[in-house]
Amino acid sequence: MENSYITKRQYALLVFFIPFVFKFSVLPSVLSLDAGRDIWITMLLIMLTELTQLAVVVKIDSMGGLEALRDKYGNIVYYALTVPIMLTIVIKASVYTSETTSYANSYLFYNITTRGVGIVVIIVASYIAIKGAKGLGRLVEQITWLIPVAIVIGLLFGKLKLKPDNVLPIGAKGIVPIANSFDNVLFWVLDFSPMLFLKTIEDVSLVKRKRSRFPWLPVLSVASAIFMVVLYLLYVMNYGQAGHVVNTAFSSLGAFNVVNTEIGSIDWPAITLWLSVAIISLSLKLFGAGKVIASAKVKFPLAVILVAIVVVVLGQFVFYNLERAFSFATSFVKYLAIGIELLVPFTAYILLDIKERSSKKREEKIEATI
Amino acid sequence: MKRQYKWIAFLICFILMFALGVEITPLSERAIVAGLGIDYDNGVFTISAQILLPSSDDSKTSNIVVSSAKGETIGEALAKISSESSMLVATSHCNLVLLGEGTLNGKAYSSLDYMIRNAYLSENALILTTEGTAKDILNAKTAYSDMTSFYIQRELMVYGNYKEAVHRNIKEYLSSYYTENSANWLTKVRKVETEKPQTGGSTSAGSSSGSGSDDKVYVLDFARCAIIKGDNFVFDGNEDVISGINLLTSTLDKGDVVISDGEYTYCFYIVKSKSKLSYKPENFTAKASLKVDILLKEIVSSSNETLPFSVIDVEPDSKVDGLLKEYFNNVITRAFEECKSHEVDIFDLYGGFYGKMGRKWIDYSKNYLEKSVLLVDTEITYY
Repeated sequence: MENSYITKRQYALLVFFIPFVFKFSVLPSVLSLDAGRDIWITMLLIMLTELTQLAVVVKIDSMGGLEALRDKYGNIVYYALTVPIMLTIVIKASVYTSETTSYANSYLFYNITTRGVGIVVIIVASYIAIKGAKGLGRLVEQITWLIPVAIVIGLLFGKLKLKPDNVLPIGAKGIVPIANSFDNVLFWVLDFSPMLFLKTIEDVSLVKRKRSRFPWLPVLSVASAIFMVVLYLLYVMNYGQAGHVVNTAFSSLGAFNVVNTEIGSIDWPAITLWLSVAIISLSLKLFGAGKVIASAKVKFPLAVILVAIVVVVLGQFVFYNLERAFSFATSFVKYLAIGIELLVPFTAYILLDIKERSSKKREEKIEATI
Repeated sequence: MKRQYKWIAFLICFILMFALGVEITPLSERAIVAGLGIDYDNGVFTISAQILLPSSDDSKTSNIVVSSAKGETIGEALAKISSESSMLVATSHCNLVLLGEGTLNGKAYSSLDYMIRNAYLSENALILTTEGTAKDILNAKTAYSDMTSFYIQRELMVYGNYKEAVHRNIKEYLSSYYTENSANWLTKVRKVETEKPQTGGSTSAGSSSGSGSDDKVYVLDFARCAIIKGDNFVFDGNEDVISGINLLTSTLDKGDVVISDGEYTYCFYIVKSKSKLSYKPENFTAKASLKVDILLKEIVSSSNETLPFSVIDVEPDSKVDGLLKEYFNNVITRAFEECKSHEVDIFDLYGGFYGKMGRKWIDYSKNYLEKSVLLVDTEITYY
């Protein structure tokens, strides 16, 4: 587990960034088809579900993580739980790669071959995954600065025309369209399972500066939920009921898109931010899946490369376009994916809790005997 | 050991980039489209692209051409332009789309399908309609610029929103299209012949081709608008209609208002205008609150009297103030009533009433436009 350690602040930053990347690209457009102007309510429900999963994942980390599970229950239980989660991660990574490729093609390389972009993205993601948790943590810290840059440039140059009235009436069509939209995108719900393979440690520099007590995780996880709901509200205020025709939400809503010049518009900061977080998110998935294979005494870099090959084959040759990836992700597979994402962390938590309680009882018994 | 991974990853990326075919088209082989005109007639699109051609010598100047091609789809016509010019047509820098008159009848939305599906044409690109064909406008030789596309963008986008000319982009057009009543509007650009300005120097840009190559020069006028409902053109709005729409749907920061009390004629300048709509769906009433910051620019007497001038003359008397408020109220009301008479809910009162009343509105809304009243309350601040 030597390359699984990440500081608490880096962990919290990952929690903040992970939801926003693949939930704010094509998803608003897909949600709009059913929920219309109420997509922000769907997102609120999604984020509440995400935070529930996160709470379990964090609790498992505090109980020693999946390694503790392996130590206490042996390999059979460990693999029974981690193999399904690994398969889910791989499938999700493949669909997300297809989404990333489509995004990069649309905004950066409109004359490059699709497969070339996707493969290069996965190579970069694999490299970061091989570098381990430390690399992921550092990278996520480095890209954080793009947010204030985005806000400052947006405030200086942006001319976003928002119509708050677009949000009204709230829930006028009842709960059914919201429920349908939620059901449709179940595949994109619960993305924190790769974090089961990370171990948090205190940040030495923060301890030295006596700032280690700041509750990074609660603050940033709640901020992430609020941030997502606010982004969806802005989306509705901006596009009204035309939300379903928007290709990629983040770039379109990025205030920079409205910095028009006579020969084009400046939209690079928004694109850079989205793409960086997408690659980090994919790296984390490769890292998680690689960890499961590596636990069977395979070298970790080799394990990540094997996962990357499967992701490339699925993402670039099976789901070679966004439509294929979406029709797959919105099929029955979504129920399998969310089922595994829910069951595995909860089961792991219950099993660890049982052991913890029994060892506590044993200790109490020994103390009582003494 | 760890460094090896970095170099291996780097090397694989490079090999793949070349092996999988990265097309790198040099700038000199790209036709950079600055403005796109879409005309439609008898099932055929005529696409006109105003193109910047990089100069082959070192003079650092660009040539400008308007290239046109016909096709059943916009993509097909653009491909023809590419093939004829033997250059890759690049629309990634296109910030202007002109829909010709023929396009507005049933093809306004479907002609935008190409732009919606292809993200590299920005949704923030300006969209206008034209009097006559879009091709004709792109070919017009304007008095103040060698390139029509840049002239229009400068006029509408760079110098801010005028009372008579407001920019509207593809995103805003689509947003209106998908409202419940699908009322929409587009600024109409028309060319007006003017005298050729006498200039002392020469311009560096190249020449325009097509019908604009004669000696006539034009200025472009934006004080008209096409009112559209769904996919159908409804009527041509005059200066009053477009001023009313602009005042209520945009933040203006330019434009003159001239009023007369019989004795004197006053010219005011709009520094800033903002508006807000509130709704009372129960009695089908909407109230527009307009706030205008205004500057007194000039007073002209109808007699030969010389007016005593004072630098502190800022606020006119209550009579003129009343006339000014009446002017703004009337402009907005007239725009609303004119559109209402054509069964177009131009200010989307349906959406406002629905937002306020919720689900009940759907049953309550029968013949709502007929019953709807728009009240306007103007507040003026003198600078």
